[in-house]
Amino acid sequence: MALAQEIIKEDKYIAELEKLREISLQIDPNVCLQCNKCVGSCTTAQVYTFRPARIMRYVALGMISHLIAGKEIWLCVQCLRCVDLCKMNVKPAEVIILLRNLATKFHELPTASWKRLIESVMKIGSMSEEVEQFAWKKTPVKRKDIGLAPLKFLPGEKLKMLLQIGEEI
Amino acid sequence: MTATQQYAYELAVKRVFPVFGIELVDIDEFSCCGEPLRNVNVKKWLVFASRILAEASTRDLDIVTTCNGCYLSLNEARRVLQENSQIMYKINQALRKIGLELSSLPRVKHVIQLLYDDIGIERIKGKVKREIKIKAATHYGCHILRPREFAVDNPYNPTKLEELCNAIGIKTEDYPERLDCCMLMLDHMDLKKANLIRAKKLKSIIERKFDCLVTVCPLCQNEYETRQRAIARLMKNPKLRIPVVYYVQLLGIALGFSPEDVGLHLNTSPIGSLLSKITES
Ligand code: SF4
Ligand code: SF4
Repeated sequence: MALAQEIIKEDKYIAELEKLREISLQIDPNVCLQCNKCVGSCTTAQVYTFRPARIMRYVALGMISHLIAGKEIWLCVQCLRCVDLCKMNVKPAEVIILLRNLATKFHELPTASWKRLIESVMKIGSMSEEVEQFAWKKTPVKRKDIGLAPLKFLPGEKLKMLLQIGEEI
Repeated sequence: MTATQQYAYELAVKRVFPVFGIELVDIDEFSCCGEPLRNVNVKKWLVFASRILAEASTRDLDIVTTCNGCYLSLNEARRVLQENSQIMYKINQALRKIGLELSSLPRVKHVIQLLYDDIGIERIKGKVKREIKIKAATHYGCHILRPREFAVDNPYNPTKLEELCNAIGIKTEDYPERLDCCMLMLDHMDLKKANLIRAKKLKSIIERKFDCLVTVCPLCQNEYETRQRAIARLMKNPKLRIPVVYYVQLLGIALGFSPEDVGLHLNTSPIGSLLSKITES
C-alpha cells in the first residue's frame, strides 16, 4: 500500500481514538517519556514480551492499525500497576482499553471466550445465567434450596434501550 | 446489594451486616455493572454503570459492592460524571428515557471499607463469640488497591484485611504473592498460562503452610476456587487442596453463625480440612 494511503488509514483510527478520549479523561500517550516504569511493574510483561511502554509509543506516533489488528492488547490483565506508577499520568491500562474498543469496532473479538462474555452481558445484562451451583462435595444447589430469592434479570426491552442509549451519547 | 452467582458470599454478607446494624436492600433492577463492556465500548459501559448509580440514587441509597470489579467500575463512572458536566448532561437526558434520573451520585463502597472504616476493628472484636484459630493467606485483588484515588488501603502495603483477620483470631503472614493479580482477564486469551501463574501463588501457600486463602472479591475467589482442579493437574499435584473462602464467611463463623449459615458448604474448593480446624478451635 502506498504511504499516503497508510497515513489516511491511520488518520481514521486516530480520529476514533480522539472521540473516545472524551469519556476517558486525562489520558495522554503523547507525553510518555519511555521511562519504562510501567514495564517494570507490569503483570503481563512478566510472562509475555508485551510492553505497555512500547504500545504507548506506537499510539503517540499514530501507528495504531497493527495494534488493533493484533492480539497483544488483549493480553493486559488490567491490574492497573502501570496507572499507579506512571509519573506522566499516561494511564497505559486505560489507553489499552480504548485500543480494545477500536479493535472491536474494526475487527473481531480475539477469542471465543471473549465473545461469549460480551454476548452474555449484551443479551441478559449479566455475566452468566442462573445456574445450579456445585458445592465442594459436588452436590448441586439451587438458590431456592438455600433461601435465596431467584436471580432477576433486566427485562429485554430495557436492556435494548440501554445499549441503544450507549450508541447515542 | 443485588442477587449474585456467588451464593456463598451472598449468604454470608446477608447474615453478617445486620449484626452491625447495617440494613441491606436488594434492588431487583440491578444488572451487571458494565465492567466487561468497557473493553468493547466505553460508552456502553458508562451507560450501564450510570444506570446502576441512578437506580440507587432514586431510592436514596448508597451502594456497597461485594466485588472489586464493580467497586472500581462504579467509582470510575462516578468520576467521569463528576468531572465532565457535558457527559453528565447527556447521560441524564438518556436516562430520562427509561424513567430514571441522576440527581445525586450515591456513594460506592466496598465490603472491606464497610467493615474496616465504618464498623471498625473494635466493634468487630466486641462481637466475636468464637475465635478462628487458623493461619490464613490474604488476597486483596487489584481493583480495590489501584488506581490510587479509589484505593481502600495503601496500594503497596495494605494491612486492612490482615487486621480484620487478626480481629477474629486468624493469624496472617506476608508472602511474596500476596498482592498478585488473579489473572482473570488472561483466562479469555490463554487459560493455561493464567493457571500457571495462579499455580505459583497456590504453591507458595502450601509451602508456607497456610490453612486457607482468604479473599474479598467473587472474581478472584472464583479463579482460585473453581480452577483449582485444573491448576492441580498442571502442577502434577493431584493432592492440591487449598480451601478458598471469603473473609465475610469466616467473620460470620466468628460471630456465632454455623458454617452452613454463611454458605461454607457451597464453596467449590475443598474446605474439609478448614472446617475441622474451625470446629476444633
Ligand atoms: S507510560 Fe508512563 S511509565 Fe510507561 S514509559 Fe511512558 S511515561 Fe514511563
Ligand atoms: S494494567 Fe495491563 S499494562 Fe498495566 S501493568 Fe497491568 S497488565 Fe501491564
